[in-house]
Amino acid sequence: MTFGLLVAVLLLLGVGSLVTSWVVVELHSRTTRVEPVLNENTRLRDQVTRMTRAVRTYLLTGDAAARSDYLRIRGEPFVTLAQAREIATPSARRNLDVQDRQLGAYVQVSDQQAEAAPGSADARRLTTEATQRFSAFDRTNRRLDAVLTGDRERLEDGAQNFLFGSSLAIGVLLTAGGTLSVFAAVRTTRSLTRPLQSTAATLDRLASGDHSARAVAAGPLEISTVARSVNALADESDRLRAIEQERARLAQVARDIGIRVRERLDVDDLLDAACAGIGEGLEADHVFVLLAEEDGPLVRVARSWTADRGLLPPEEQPIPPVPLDVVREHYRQGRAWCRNDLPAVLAEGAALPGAPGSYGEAGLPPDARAAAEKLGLVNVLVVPIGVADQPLGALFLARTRPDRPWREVEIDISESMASGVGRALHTALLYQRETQLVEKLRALDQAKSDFLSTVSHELRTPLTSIVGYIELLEDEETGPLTPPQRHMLDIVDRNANRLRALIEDLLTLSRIESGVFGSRREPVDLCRLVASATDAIRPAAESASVTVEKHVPDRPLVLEADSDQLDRVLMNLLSNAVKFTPAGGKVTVRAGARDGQAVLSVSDTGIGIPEAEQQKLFQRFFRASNATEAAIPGTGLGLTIVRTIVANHGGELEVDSGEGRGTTFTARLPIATSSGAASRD
Amino acid sequence: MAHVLIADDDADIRDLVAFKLTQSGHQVAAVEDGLAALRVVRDQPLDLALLDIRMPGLSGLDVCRELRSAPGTASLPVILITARSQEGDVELGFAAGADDYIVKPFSPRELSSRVNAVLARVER
Repeated sequence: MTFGLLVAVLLLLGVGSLVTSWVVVELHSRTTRVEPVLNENTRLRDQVTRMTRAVRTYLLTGDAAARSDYLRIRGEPFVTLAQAREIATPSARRNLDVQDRQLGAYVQVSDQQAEAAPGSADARRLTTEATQRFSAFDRTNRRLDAVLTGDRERLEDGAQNFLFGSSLAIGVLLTAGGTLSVFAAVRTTRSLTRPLQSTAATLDRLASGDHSARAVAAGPLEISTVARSVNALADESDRLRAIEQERARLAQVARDIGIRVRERLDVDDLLDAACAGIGEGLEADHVFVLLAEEDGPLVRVARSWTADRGLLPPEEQPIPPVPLDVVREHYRQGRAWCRNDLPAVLAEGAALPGAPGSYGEAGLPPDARAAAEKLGLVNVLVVPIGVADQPLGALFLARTRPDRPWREVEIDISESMASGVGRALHTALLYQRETQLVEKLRALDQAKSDFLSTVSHELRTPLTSIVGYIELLEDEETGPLTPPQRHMLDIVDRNANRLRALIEDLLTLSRIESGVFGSRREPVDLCRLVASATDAIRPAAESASVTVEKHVPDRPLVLEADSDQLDRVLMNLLSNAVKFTPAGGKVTVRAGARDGQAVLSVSDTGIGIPEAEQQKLFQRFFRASNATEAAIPGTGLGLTIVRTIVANHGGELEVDSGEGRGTTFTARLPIATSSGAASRD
Repeated sequence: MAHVLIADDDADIRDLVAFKLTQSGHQVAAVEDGLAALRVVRDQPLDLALLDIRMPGLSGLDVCRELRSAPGTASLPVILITARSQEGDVELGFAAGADDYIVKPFSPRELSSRVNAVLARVER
């Protein structure tokens, strides 16, 4: 509308200019036809006047020059007249025709004047005639002059008036055009710029994170289309962001569940945490974890959870077991199986589309179908669980409302959750097996200890009879013995004692290892213990012709220990030393404190221990080769007992020996902290 | 000369103890379980009882406690025979009121001297 007006104004301006130009040109052309005629008319009068003056001058003065002037110029006025006629308007031409006749009449007379004698009467008559004819010409001429002058002035006035009017009109039109332009500009600003600015502002708000911003679809079609496109983009971006937020939330849920299941080493705890966590996190109505049993053909529900009731008791099995081949095939496929229209595919009673194994070929068995219908399962998502190439089971998620289908993002997340659960489950199962194994081994160890203990005790009663009756025989309480009988009885006695020592050592070892004792701690003076042990061994040493020396400090050396066990350590080491030292040898016992430790050593000058065998020295039943060669009796348990007791007391046992150069056993034991400064010898 | 009771379910050990103590000049009654031991204590005058801890029915410890709780036998010397020297039997034995204990396998000589020592202590 505004544009229409503006165009009309511009058209008017154009037409006005054209008209003005035409008028100006027209005025100009008319002016150019009036002006020259006026000029020619004036020149005509001048020429005729000069001709008159020349002929009168001749007649007055008789000047021949004047006469010849006249003759020379007498033709000029006719030329001028002819020229004027050429350009004159018809009315002017009529005047000019009159002038032409009058001029002709005058020139007839003036030519006679030029022939007349100056001062003659003829001359005078001719002059009067000429003056009359000239006057007639002059009057016509002046009349034209006046007419033309008037014409010229009229034309000039008209032109001026027209120019003024047209200028005024153009000015008005220009003003109108300008106003219209401003109006159009304002209108344009309103209809284009404002909606565009608003749309741009909306884009800015969207870009700066105000996702609720929407553009107003106003203004011209193109602009509102842009606004609608921006809104559509913003809506799409909202949708994508919502998906992204949902994905992030689910990823967080998956991480939380991953952490919760990783923290659990107990399979039942883990299943509880996984079931409840996944059910709540994925907003499922039912969650079942199916777990393959070792070598079983069926995979049963190991844990169930429902949104209404939470975790169900283990004996409740809402869905029947699944054949192992289905679970195995599903795990091999490695993808979730999802149907958001389970009733539709169930109703067909045929193969489950895309389902693994026999389910994909023959469909669900009737009991499974009945269970699915009873639970009202609509949207079903089954994810395989396993580790490496080992299928462990499946995660079964279900919703009962048709408007809550499993979305792609939830399927993705459920797969990642299932893989986390699989790893954790694998670890927990390994741990469970290991724990069961440890339990079994511990029970076995206990059974072994019990057995050993029982057997040892049971052996003691018959042994009592054996050694008792041998003693009665050897004491000759049933009559004198012959030397061969005594020899034989000695052998029986020696072996019975060997058997007894073996039983005692086994019993001691089993007790030490089972931790039955060793827990008792009391202040023990090592020096007194050494003294009594030395006294106890002395008879045996003397009968073997071995001297025993002891070097102990005067002051007590107090340890926190089990004195019976330390006594056994001393007795074992001393009896070994005496046993492996040939007659004439020496056994030395030292006790002292060094570097905050009690140091107890027993050295002998005996047969020593081959270096190659020292590694095995503390193994049960190990006996040094030179000991067995020399037929020195022993159980092979004494040193094991010694080392175990020393270790139980937080100490260390070292051996320094070589074949043929004697042996030194050194035990380092912690000194009782309450005893303060320990003494040195 | 003293009257000594030996209660042990193992006949060989009963015979061994009976033989050795008889040789040492004592009069010995040998029984094979705790109930029989209590019967003997009730029926006969006794100077000392040797009781094996592990017996079917009443154990040596039960018999010992029974003796200590009856006024007529509260001061009868009792020596327990145990196969477990270090697992609480000794403590249990003393707690039940035994005067001494002897650990299997024992030497008959040692048994005889322990019996004599306990008898001597009681006489003094």
